[in-house]
Amino acid sequence: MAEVKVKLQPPDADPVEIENRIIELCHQFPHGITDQVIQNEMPHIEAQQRAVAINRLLSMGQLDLLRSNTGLLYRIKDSQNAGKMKGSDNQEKLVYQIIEDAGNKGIWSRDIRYKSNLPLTEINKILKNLESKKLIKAVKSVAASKKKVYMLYNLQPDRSVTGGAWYSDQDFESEFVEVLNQQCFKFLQTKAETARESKQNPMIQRNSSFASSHEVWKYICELGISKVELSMEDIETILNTLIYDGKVEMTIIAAKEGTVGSVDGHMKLYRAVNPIIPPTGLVRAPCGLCPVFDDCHEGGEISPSNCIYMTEWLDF
Amino acid sequence: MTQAEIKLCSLLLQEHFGEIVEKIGVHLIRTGSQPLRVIVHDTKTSLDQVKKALCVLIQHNLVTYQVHRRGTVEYEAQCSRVLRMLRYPRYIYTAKTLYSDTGELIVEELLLNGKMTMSALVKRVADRLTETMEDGKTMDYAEVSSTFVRLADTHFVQRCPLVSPAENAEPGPPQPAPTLVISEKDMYLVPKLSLIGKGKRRRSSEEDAPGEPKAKRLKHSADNKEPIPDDGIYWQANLDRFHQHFRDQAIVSAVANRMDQTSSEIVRTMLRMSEITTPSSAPFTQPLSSNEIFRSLPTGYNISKQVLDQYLTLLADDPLQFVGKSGDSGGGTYVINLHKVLGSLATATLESVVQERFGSRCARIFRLVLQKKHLEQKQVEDFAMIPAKEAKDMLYKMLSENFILLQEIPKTPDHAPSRTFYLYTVNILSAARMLLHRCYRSIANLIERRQFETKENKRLLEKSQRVEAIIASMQATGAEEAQLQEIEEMITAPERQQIETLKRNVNKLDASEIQVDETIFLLESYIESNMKRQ
Repeated sequence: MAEVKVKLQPPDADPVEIENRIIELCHQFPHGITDQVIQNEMPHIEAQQRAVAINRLLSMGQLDLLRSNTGLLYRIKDSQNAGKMKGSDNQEKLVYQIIEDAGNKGIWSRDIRYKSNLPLTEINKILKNLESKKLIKAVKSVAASKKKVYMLYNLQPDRSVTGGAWYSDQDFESEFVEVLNQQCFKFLQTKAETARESKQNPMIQRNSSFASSHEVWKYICELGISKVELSMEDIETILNTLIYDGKVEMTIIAAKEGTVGSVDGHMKLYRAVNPIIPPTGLVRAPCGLCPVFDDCHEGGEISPSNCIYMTEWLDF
Repeated sequence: MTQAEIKLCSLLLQEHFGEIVEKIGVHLIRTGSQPLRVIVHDTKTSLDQVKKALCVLIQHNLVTYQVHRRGTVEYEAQCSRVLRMLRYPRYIYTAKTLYSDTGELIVEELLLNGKMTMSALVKRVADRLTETMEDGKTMDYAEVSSTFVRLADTHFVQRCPLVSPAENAEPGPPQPAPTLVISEKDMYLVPKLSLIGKGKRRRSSEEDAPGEPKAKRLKHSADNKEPIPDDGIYWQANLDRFHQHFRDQAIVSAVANRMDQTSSEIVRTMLRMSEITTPSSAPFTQPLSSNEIFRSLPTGYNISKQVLDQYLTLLADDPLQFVGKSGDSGGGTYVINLHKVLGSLATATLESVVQERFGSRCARIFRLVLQKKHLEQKQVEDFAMIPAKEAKDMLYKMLSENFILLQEIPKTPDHAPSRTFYLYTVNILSAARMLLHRCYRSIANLIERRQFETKENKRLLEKSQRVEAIIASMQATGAEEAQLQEIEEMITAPERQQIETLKRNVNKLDASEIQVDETIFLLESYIESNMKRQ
């Protein structure tokens, strides 16, 4: 008997079967599967049939196509999401994809236009559509108040957009900052006072008048005057404003990794200080603070002889 | 010389020396160095008067002269020296704190007379002191001389340059004007005089009414016709030394404010040790070892050597950088960073002015830009934690007053505003100069106001003076109580009130002038130290 070349008929040449097998595989590997994996699993299917099956799944919206450094990945799409987009067309899906990629920083409408190459009118229509479907939302940026960034509906906006702990609804909370400012200063001041009164040798006195940023942060948290949770960086920005007020000085010391409050091997220490000179002589005379100083000359409307500020000051 | 400085000089000269001297002085300040004939011609005053005015000015070290190659003598006024007249009260007060009443009177007489010989000075001061003492006691010349010697040793008074002896020996026609020389080591050499005597109390009949010109008083005290042993050796007050002292005081008080009393005492000791050895314009004092400092501490302070070392280390580590460590020999050598100190004091003055004029939030922005050197608008708002609108407002206000400058950095060659960086920055030197100019104008305003107040009430003042003179003469001739009462009632109660108010106002204005002068001192020292550095 001559050898008959038997061409094994693939048992599941049915396209639906192929698709189901692929979907099963995707469920097995939720992170995604490469083309290689599918080939290994079903070696008897030709490449063309595989491609057709995958394309069908993609167009039905059940598979996601991703690119990784090893090649193309196929991932099962979230069934919930798959249902959402049923009614939208490809353009909307593209825009939605772009917004999703922007994460919680959001993306501006002009950037969406660049990325998708769609005309402005189309973009606006799509954005309105998506908003009405409650898939995306617009968040006003604190940096430029007219600019609106779009992000997914259920995401929390990032700090850089809302301004972080110091902004509440786009308003800078100056009173809050002031209160924190005074509290930190009072804490440092009392620390310096107790150190000064302890009357030990000067090294110990000085070292005990220092407070690390961690200590101040703990004190403020314990005070509980802030509704928002404050991080150590926030407290450091407040302490920096005290430095710019000239009330506090800072030194950086090297600290071992692992000691409380150290960041990258160094710690910041703060200390309350007094100004080095009392208010200077010029400001004790009325001329030093006079708003019309440049207009004042003898014989004019405003002159030293008839200066009302001087008269008031002399009567004081 | 700026317009403001010239105005202030004219006011000072007028107040201290009178109209004619003021005219000549201001003319010289305005036009630089001029020969005698030109001065006479330009100011349209007689030759005689110009000569006398120049005499007065030269006597007080306000004008110097120079012989030029072709034989002409040109006179030049020193504007900065005229402005020092504002500081005379501070010099006298310093002498009082350091050397008590005797020192105070010595410096006062020197400043009022410009130059004096030692014997004349001692005699005058002894007379004055004797008058204030109780009946029967007199001031010994020896005590006054010893105080004078101490002043010379600490360089507060110095000899004036003398006619060089070589000139007299030269043959040929005499020079049109003598050249004055003095060697460094002779400057503080006190001549060996044996001044024996006691101060004379002036009899009450010879008592001068206030306001009599100086010439008459000189005639009074020229009682003895003996030749003065130290004729030709004149002394003047050494203003640089006083300035050094003020600067040291400012440093010590700054350290006391920032740290504690003991640290400031240590710094004061260090400064005292380098008083004579370091020239006043040096950037650093001489290095002092901690052993030397320990030995020189004032006796009241018994802190141990280790504690002293700890204080010195703390001072050297302080972010202010007033004290620096320059080596380890002798237990650690330390220097005081003089230029840095002046810079910090000038910066603190600027900050204080910004705070008082614009508010503490503006001061925060000012210090922020000062520390970070160059900042954009957005960064200023972020670092200072001030809402954007307010921050903008404050920055523009300070910009319009020239405390803050704007630096443009273009991104494109066409400098388009939308594509340029605008950075805010502070230039301390130019801000200090601007503030100094303002100080000069302020003092001129205060003096003018004082003169105005006095002029307003001139009639009243004259009346009260007349009444006082009448009362005094009547008391001398033994009048009755009732008559005295009657004369006193010539001044009514509201008038008395007015005089009181006037006196209080004039005092306040005077005190304010001195306070503004303190600011001037700090700013001038800083600008000077910066100039020398370049």
